Amino acid sequence: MKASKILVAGLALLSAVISTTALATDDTITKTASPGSMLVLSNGGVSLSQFGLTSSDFPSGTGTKTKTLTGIDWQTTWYPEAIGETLELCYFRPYSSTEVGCRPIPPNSSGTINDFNNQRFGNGAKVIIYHRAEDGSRVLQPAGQDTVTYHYSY
Amino acid sequence: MKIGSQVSAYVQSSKQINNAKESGGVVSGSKSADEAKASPPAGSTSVTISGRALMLSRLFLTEDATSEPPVLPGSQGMGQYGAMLPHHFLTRDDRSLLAEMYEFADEQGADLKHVDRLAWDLGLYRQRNDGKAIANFNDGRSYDLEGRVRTVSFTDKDTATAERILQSDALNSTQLDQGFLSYILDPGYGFTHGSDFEFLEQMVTRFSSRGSEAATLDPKFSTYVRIENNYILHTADEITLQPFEPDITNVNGVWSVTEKGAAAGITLDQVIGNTQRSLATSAGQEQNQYILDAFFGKSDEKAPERGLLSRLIELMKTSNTKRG
Repeated sequence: MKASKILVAGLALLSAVISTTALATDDTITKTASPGSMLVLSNGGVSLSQFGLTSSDFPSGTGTKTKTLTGIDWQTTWYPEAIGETLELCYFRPYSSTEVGCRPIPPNSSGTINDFNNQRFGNGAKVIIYHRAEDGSRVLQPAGQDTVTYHYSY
Repeated sequence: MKIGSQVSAYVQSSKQINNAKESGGVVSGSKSADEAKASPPAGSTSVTISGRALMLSRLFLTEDATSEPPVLPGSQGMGQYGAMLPHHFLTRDDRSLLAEMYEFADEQGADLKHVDRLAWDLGLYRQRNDGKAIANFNDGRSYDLEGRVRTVSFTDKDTATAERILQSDALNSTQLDQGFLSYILDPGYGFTHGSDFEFLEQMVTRFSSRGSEAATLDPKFSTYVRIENNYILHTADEITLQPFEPDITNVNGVWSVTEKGAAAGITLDQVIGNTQRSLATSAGQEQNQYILDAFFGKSDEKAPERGLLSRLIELMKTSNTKRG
């Protein structure tokens, strides 16, 4: 009887592990934002687009689940009239005003990064894309919008 | 991994930039008398403006030496102060050195945009916490959307100039920050540089123990030409980052369950509903509960819903009971 109970308990544990692993859910959140107009004086200009996450961005009932970031896709716009435009994508952990890190990315391009996959992720996390221009003609308008897609599992 | 077989066609377009602020033009009417190095001789209209006045006017748009902005900390340069211009992160030493560069460039008849661009690159390095806040584009973790690694390189001309600077005798004694030079001359960090590397080379030498070797500037620096897209983007052939296949997507607030998600039993009602049930994992949790209930003899109200495994366990328990 004792051996049988141990066997069954082991089976239950194994089943729990397997079911948890097999049923991990993979989701994406895509957000689009405009970096807006950029005021460029003779010493340069800056604009940015923010991609903050709130509870309404996540599926119902997953608020307490630990979520793992598995990648970030980005697609950037550009300022056609800017001179010397540079971009950086920075990741911020939930409710933090200090970036985990940033990556230089080209304007008017797209790509994927997995730099921040081990970082905390969930409500309050965000990405900021900074656009900087060394020079230009006063108020510049972007050609389009920036887009960020978060990949995550739980 | 083969990198470099695909090279994006970046056109080496150039933009001619007129120096809108001729040497000292903005500060010619400055009231900051202490900033003027010398009074013009009687009958002359020329004014010599100090490098410091040039630095303040061009980087901070001020003619008042007492209103020089404070040095912002690079440790918060990408978060709290991310929307500030890079110049605000230049240290006092940086600003002093740049003032000397402005003065030298002005004396030599160079386009002061050369120094502006060098100041921008140095300021951005400071804003990026001396480069620590930014990843190297060539670290193998930049991918295109298909999962192929991308890298960048300088143009051949910039590559040659960068190598010359890094191997020059002036490098060890130059007043320019060694960390900055390593950073800006590495294509993974410096691929979007605005400074003309040949001008940078002159400054490295001029402000070193070998300064006499760069006593005069080549006339070609009398005009600044910004080379747009002055780097080459390479994409690897093979896909090394497998595509992410979601179960659920949320595109600007519009939810969808993919085929993969639907196959896993996820429904749109679960995703957007008010239920506290936790999607697919709830099924797994329920099955685990059935197993434990079956073993420990708890309520069997849900017996009709049990799976094969829980029924098997119940049979084993019955069998053991009979033997006992």
